[in-house]
Amino acid sequence: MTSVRVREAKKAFNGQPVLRGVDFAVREGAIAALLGPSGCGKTTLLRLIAGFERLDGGTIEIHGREVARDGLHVPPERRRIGYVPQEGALFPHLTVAGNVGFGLARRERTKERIGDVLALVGVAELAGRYPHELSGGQQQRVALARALAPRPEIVLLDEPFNGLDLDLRRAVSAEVVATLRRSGASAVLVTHDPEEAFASADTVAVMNHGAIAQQDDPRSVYLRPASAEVARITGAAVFLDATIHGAMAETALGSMPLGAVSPGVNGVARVCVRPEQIVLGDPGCGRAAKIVSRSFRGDHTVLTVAIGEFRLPVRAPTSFVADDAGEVQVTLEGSCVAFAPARPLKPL
Amino acid sequence: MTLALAGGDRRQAGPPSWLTLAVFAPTALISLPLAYVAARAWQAGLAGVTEELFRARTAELLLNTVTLAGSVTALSALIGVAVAWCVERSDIPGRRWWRVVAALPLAVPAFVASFAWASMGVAFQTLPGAVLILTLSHYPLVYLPVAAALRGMDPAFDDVARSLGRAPWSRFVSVTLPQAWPALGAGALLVLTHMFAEFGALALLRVQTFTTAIFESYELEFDGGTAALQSAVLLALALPPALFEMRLRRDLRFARVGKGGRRQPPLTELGRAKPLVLLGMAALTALALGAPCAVLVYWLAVGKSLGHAAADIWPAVKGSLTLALPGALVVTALAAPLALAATRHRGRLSGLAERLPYVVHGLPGLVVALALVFFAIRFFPEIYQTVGLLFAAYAVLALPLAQSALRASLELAPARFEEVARSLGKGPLAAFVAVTLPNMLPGVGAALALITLELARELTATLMLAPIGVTTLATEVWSQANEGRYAAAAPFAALLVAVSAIPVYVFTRRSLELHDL
Repeated sequence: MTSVRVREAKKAFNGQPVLRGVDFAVREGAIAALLGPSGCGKTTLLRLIAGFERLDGGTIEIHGREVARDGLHVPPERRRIGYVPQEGALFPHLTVAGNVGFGLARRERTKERIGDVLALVGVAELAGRYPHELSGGQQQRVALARALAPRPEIVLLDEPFNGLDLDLRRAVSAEVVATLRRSGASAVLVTHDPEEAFASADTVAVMNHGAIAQQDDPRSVYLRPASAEVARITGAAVFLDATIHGAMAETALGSMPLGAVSPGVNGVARVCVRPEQIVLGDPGCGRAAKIVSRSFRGDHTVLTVAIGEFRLPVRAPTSFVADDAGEVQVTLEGSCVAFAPARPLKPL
Repeated sequence: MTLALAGGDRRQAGPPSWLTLAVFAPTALISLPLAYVAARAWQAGLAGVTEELFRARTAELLLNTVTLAGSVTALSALIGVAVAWCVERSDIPGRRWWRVVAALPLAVPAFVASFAWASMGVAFQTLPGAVLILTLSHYPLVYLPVAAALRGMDPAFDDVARSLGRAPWSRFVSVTLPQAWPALGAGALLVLTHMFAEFGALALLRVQTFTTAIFESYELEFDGGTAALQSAVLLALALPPALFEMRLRRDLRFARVGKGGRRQPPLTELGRAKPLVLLGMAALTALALGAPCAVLVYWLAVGKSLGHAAADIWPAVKGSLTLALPGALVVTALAAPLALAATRHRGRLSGLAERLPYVVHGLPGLVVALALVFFAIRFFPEIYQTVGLLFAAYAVLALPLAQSALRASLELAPARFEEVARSLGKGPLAAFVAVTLPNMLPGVGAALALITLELARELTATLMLAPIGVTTLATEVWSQANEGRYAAAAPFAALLVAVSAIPVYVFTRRSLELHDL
């Protein structure tokens, strides 16, 4: 059973296409992240699912019921959704209890029911406070409680942690995810932070230029990006020129097994590896490289090394000490993904 | 970091003594009406006060004043909110156009509108007539702040309410209205205080309220006790709403949340109601703006007493200019220390500076003028019947306007500039002259122009305090219309409307675009 299914969704604002035929689905009880750079259309997709915007083409189903297609637009108030916007948008004129009770029918608006929902997000003691008396993290939790109170089919979260400090952000998003899991609701989380998407979601849909470039579980999206763009959106990526021999890629740093091959890639290619796959090798193993500079990062150190003209970053332990010549051995770990070269390559 | 620390230090350091002294000048001026009422009551004694207050006449005036003020406020609130919603939240055709047009009735001073309506027939010279005419000329005071609040509101609130299953009307009542409430309340209270202070319109419409009664008492027994005691009642009516307004406006300043880049709230489709709404807006505009202007044009075209007035126009224009321009300079000079104290120093002095304008809102011009007469003939008889006394009245009445205009220009020269100048080795005065003054001068120029135009339409204080023989556009409209010479009043009124359009335009722009109320 799918909770949300979007087919061929198209949307333009003032003649500018924002979504160019998006297909997207969320399984019942799953949390899906919409990950992409700003302007890629992820918030628009969320607002189309919510019903705040009208589709130009395509269809949207929530829980097997069609809510939007040509000539049909179920208004958001009848879609049984929960919505958590940026910075929470708690109603400033209502208390926490008033906010949480807002979406409940009058007879359901009881102290117990509101207390239960507040307890679910762990802020039961705040019921009598006003939003301006809450911290940023508390506001987000109350905003989630308000969305969950009417037991929606699906909860839509639009970059809900943007306003929070980085460390608070990790903690609050972990709690929010745990609460969503406990409540059993499906959710769509819009974010531009890959780490947040990977940590929170069962499935990550990477959006770029108004289309979904790849939707898969977090590991696959990170380790086998469908394109160079997806690789960049989902984290740091290093691109190496390579030649493909069967299931192996020959690079300046040695050969490496291919995890996936983009269609049509043969012979000369460009492979994508993650920075943590470039490591220091034992003497005699890997390529010799010269250290150009080093940057201390606390739990590790990043060395910039040169192999001939070619420079690249290598992660080294904090305790790493270079020899007098400043030479290290660099090697590759794991598998890589090959893409067609961006430009004709000079042979190595 | 150093800069931030310097800022903190500066805030905590007390204001310089010259500033404290300068803030007390307008404060003293503003306390004169209260002192006047107190002194008079003291002279009359307890018996005199109770005898005056418990007359049947006082009850009648009270009933009239409260009925009029209450009805106009309630109707203005209703119309103001409806118009604001249509203009900001519905898909009414020509929204941008209506947005400005709906505020334009402010350009017709209430006494000019009253003269126009009164000249159409005696039916309007009644209490219901006065309620209609004053509502039509005052609803923009509610419309403008509410429209600004609707525009400034984060649409996410409405989105959330929709996601929680609320229907449109329920969303308006439970989400939109509560958030617009401070703006609505402040606007309505402003209408209420204006109603308590209104004199010219009510005199022309022959409605008996405290202001018209005070004026009559003043004309009957110059500097008498009755006017003072009636003033006391009027102050008791008018000051509380002004103080409430102050509390609401303070909330208003904090109510705006969120940052730039918000999306526009969705417009409600009017559908089949569209022609009806359009018709309503057109009717409102026709009544509030079209009718007075059409009547003015009519009297200009057909009036027989027009020739009578032609010779008086130039002296009236000259009178308006020679009173309003220096008056504006005096007000600006008095308001500058208040604006400085409010923006550059935290503490008791700035608190006082921020509260003064609201007290002024609650002071009817009539009472201010009476108080000045009272103190002038007792202590400074030589300034009675000079423009000096009138300037003092202007200084009180235009103080809020001057303060807000100057504040806006001071914000163009933030304290940080001065701090940088100080860090580069300039003394406090040199830093002010070199950095702050040049940055705020253009704003001060605009403020001066605005106050001049606003003072040109002032009637009550000018009528009572202008030296004998000096006329202005406003006093000419009033005296001609009061004598029933409607056609003779028309040219002065038309000039006044033309002049008023400029400050109204500026005020509308400011409240709609900057949310600065």
